[in-house]
Amino acid sequence: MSKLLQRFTAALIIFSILLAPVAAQTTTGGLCTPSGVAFGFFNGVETTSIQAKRNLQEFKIMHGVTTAQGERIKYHVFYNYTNGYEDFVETFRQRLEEQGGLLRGKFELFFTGNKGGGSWWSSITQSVAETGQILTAITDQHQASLLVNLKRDFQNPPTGLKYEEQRLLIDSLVIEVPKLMFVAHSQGNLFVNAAYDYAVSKTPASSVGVVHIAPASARTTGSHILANLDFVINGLRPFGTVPPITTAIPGYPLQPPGLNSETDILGHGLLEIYLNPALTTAEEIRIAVNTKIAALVPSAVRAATGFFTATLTWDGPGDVDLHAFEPNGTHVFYSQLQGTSGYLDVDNTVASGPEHYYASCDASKLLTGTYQIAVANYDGADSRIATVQVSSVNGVLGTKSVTLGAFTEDVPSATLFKIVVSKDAQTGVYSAALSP
Amino acid sequence: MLDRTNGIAGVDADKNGVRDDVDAYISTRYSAAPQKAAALQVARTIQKELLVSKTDKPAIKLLTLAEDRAVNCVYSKFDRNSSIKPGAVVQDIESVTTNTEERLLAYLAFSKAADGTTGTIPEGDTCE
Repeated sequence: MSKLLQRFTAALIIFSILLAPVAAQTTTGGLCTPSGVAFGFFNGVETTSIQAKRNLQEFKIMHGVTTAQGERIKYHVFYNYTNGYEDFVETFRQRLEEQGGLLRGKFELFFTGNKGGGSWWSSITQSVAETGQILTAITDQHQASLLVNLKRDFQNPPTGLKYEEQRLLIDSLVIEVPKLMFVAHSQGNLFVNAAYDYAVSKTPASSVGVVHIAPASARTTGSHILANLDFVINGLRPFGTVPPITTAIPGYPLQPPGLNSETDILGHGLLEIYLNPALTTAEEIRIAVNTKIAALVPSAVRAATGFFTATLTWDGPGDVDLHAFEPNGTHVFYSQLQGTSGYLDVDNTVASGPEHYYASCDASKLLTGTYQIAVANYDGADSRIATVQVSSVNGVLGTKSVTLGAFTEDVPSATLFKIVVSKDAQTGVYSAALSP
Repeated sequence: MLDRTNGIAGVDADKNGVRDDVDAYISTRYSAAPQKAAALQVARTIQKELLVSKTDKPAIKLLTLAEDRAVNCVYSKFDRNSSIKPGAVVQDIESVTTNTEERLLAYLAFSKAADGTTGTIPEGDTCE
């Protein structure tokens, strides 16, 4: 059978699968469940990786695991680091040396000191009054440093998605999930705009929503919340356009502790200010996000949720193929869509992808053992960069790219991933992990 | 009393992956065994982040996945309406584990290396 005929047959099979109600994708076997909403959080300025994960959990508490319409929400973070953050450590060290070195070497005070104090600082400053001057100097200098770091991207916002892992995750989400809800805080607003633009180039804009919290961006693509005493975002006004203030918050002395039991003299922290249940900003954010999710129009899902999935894209015209080799040797590709464990449910023969393979969520079908994910330049994709992302129900496991050589038709030219699916003998819990 | 000697790694006499002084802090700060275990999981993850090669991308990615599990564990064991909020637990452990300039810089270097990654709230019990 020619590839054209094979593709036609495959397309009919895929089409017939997609004609089935979305609910049909709710797999049996209980290993995973499709999401109705992908919640993507873009973190703010000077946030560590683990702080971004912590902040994401607070959104989950705020919005729950299902919407009012019964759609399941899956939570993701798109992490960005603030270049130059580490430079403030030297300034912090110098300040600790002041007042005769009363606080010399106490770097555990770094994160809270930058925000004006907190419980540890209160104990210290009440015991030794001179340390209050150290804290004031740290807070003042930190605000200046933070504005310098934020201003750089504020004045030159990213014009496209610069992170491969994040781009591929959006490529996967737009074909697997009917609604995308992006929420950004602070610096994350610069990145969410690029993510929104990318997503709506792949799926209808009516299925993608954005809510901006403390937007460090002149441009907004959804509603926003900005506090009047947010001295970081309002401090950007001399350097460009900042969206208008929406909400009044109390001054620092009257500020109630936030979700991390701390306050923020700069009025900018996500947990200290914006998600603080004692301030009106939290309820405004909750309503804005829930309202937007309810208003989104579900897009047609093209790909199934899997216990793990592999998504392939490439950077232009040509026909690149995704190949999966299952533990029992079954070769799944455009000519053999159905595997023992999984299925190739999205195929592309023209340009850019995506192609998508999923391993079943049905425990009676999912084989344990090693799966291999490979790619081939079927035709017309010489020198294209092909990128594959493998994800499990617990997130992205890995993202890799390869530059393709001459066409090899049905023969894969590069194996990018080996994924080991195992079942714990005692608990019966399945897991997926990359193998070297 | 936090240890400020012995380089980035510090002293881990019981080889549980957490500095002994951080162990002691956690034992003092949290009373319930599941909460101590959750705090230790965060501490163990951050300690690995301090020591990992910041150019080892697969290792960095694995640690970001460990972060997802550790933070999820904390949020499953602490109630944000109680006196010790999960958000404060993560912040406290982060602060005591990065208590020297060398450790803090190594820690920020990890976050810099994780720039552009993604995370997902995992499913099921993620406590170790």
